[in-house]
Amino acid sequence: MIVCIFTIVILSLAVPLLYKVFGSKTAYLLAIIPAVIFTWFLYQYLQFSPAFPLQESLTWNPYFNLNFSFYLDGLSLLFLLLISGIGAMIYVYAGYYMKGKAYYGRFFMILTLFMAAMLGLVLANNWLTVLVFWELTSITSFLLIGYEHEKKKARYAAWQGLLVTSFGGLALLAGLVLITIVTGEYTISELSNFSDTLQSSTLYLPILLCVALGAFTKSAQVPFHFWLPNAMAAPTPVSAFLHSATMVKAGIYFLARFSPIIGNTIEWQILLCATGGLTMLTGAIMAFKSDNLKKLLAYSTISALGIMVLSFGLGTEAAVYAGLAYIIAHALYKSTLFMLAGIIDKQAGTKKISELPRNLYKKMPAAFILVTLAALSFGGIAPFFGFVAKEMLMEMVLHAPFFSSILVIVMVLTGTFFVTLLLILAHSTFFKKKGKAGRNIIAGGTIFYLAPLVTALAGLYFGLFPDQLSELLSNAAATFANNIPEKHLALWHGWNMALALSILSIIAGLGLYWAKIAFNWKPKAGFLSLIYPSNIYQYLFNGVIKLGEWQTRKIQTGYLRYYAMFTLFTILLLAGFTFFYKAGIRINTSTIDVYLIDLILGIIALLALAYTLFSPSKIDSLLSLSIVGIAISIIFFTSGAPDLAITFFLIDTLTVTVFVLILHKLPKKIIPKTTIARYRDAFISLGIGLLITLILFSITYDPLTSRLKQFYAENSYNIAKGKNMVNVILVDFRVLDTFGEITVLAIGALGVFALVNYSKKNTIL
Amino acid sequence: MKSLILTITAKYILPVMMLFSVFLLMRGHHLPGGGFVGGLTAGAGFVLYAFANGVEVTLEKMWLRPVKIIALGLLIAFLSGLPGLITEASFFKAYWLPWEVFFLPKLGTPLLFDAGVYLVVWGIVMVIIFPNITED
Repeated sequence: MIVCIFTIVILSLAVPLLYKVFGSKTAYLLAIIPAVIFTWFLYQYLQFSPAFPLQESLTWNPYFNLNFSFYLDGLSLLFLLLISGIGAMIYVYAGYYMKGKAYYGRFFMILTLFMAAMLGLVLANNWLTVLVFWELTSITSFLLIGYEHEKKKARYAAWQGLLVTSFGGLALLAGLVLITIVTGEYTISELSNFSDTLQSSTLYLPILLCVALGAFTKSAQVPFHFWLPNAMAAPTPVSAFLHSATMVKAGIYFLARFSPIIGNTIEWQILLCATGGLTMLTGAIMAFKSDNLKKLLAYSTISALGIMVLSFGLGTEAAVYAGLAYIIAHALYKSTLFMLAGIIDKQAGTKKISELPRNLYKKMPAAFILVTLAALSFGGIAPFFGFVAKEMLMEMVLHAPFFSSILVIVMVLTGTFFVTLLLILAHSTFFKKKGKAGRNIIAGGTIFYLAPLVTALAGLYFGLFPDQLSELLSNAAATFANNIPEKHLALWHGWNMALALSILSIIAGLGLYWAKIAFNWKPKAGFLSLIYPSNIYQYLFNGVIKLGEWQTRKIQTGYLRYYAMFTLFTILLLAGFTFFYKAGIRINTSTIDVYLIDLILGIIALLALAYTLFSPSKIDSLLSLSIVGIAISIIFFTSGAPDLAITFFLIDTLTVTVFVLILHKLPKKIIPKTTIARYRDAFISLGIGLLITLILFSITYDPLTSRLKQFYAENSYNIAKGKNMVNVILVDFRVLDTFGEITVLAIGALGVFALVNYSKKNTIL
Repeated sequence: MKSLILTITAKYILPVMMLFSVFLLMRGHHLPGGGFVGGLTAGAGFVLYAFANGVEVTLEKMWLRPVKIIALGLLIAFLSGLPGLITEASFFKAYWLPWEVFFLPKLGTPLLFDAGVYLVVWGIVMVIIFPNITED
């Protein structure tokens, strides 16, 4: 597992190089990676049926309990097979779709990296590792959504996706930290032992809310659903992969993973069922409203995600099986539909149903057949796998432990919308009576249809032989609780209530579609737009930018004196508060030795300082300021710090040099300060001076009995072979600090370099 | 404005200051001195030279531009940490040559690191001060 993920990461970095060698065939080459992973794990699983869970671990940073520990059980395997299986198909599809587009190599590099992150996410066992992969999926999907970065819409959508999901990521981090505070455990597989401790803890509610917030943002639940439809700005292979089978499923996976740990309490059930139910209805209605094929699919994805959240929220045996089955069904039909939406978009030139040419089925028969295959599964029509999953969902809501009747109504309503959507996809799109004749539509290469064909047929195959998935699902379900029995999936359950509800939803769906066609009915759904969360997002987004502009205007005035004033005043406030509050003033005059030479130098420094302050000439002030510096460096020298003295002296010299150089560039006319400003500045400067003096007195109050001094004195020659202790500390004992410091200095110098070259428009340095 | 006295002085003082700065760098391990002070001294020498002859003349006479000197210094400082990282997985572990060279201090990775500091500081002084020297 470790090898497999690291190999993909390294390979992903090599993709641009591969592209140089193999050109546009790179994608087909890359498709081998997920295909190998898929077959390898499937083969291992079928051949040896290994005892779950499999574990592997690699220490990363033991101090922070940070391990690359990976863990394969039924749930991870299910997701792993989905990601790699769909992933392989997506590569084949994208290889054709992206042919000849700009940044081909970069696109596949990010896509591969994303796949690695996704695989890592479902396999990781240490929650710190999980978070790393979680954020990695957010970042890579940001890059993929914003792939067409010259479009403003794509950039906006990418930002939105990143901000929403990383907000959730932060919430998740908080939740996981809280879990570790309660349990002290970093390994997810061990956490289920602590479920009682967690659920009785006072921190349980915050933990639940934080974890759920993370999962909800990632899985686009109401009210965070708005980023997903916008994310359709991404190229279609990305939508098909990220927003149907993988990225948004990460939140679902997380809920499934944490269900045995913090799940199945009243709070969990209420939160997840309410959110899931609301999301599935909202998504279905919004999908019904959309005219854009990709948006329609995106909203129906939101709805499907709501169904999954609902089923894991219920947490009964039937619900767990139904949720897991629906994940497979959804991944299969949704990736097919997305891929076909991309084909239609590419060949017919539009994604809008109303703009499609008439009688498209004649021109794209293959697309029509495939869309119908997938859409039938989507609508839950026998004998497709979608039907099997839907039967299980009906079964689940019928036997729900609470609010069964409400859930049944919601489920049937969603089912109705799904059937209508099926008809829109299969009928409205391809059998338009009116509309343009359409330009010359090329059917597209065979290879273009290969990937959706495989996924569509898989949906049919598993519909006909659902028992093939029984073992996989049972293994996955076993991770939810110990006592979940194995279950056998079947296409035909006999005449029962679930089937009746299915038929009801189909009839209602037909009716709704007829009504939509007959009356050209477009529901306004104004009540939904009232609480448009995307408006809130927009408001916050603009607000933050406004705040930034305001505070930049206020603080970044461009006047050095104000920068100095703000900085010093802040120091005075914060350090002063801390000092008086935590330490207090302590003065012990007996520890202070004053020598005559220090006294004389001190008086010289004071006199020079007074001259600096009150001299009318700027150059005079400057020169007397350098006297202060020289006097201080002599004090350093007489106090036994020659290194400090030399450095101080040189710095002082160079500073004065810079000042002299700048001086004649300053405006000749000095704007006199107001009296209030004078008092304010005097207050701040005197305050800082007084504070530093008091702090110094307090530090010297305690006799210096540090072991450090002794340590350096003993070891600097014996170990580090240097007699100059200061230098030994700088270049040997604390060398990493020094390295950091010179790096900072170098970056500062680069800043100066950039500024100078910017204003002078030539590169002299 | 060119001052003959300044030009001649700078011409002779620059090598002396450079020598002195290297001397400071070398003695730093046992006596007051070191890369930081050495770099400042070298920088001061070049600033003086630029005062006398102008920035462009000074830059023309240098093999490396100041920014590249900074980069080189950082690189050397980083490289001096690598031997420890490779042998004992401990970044910046010090290694010394087992023999001593006449007139030179004991050679080892800390001295190499100090040389990196020297270069960085030297370059920074020039980058900060040179743009302010205008000829008028």
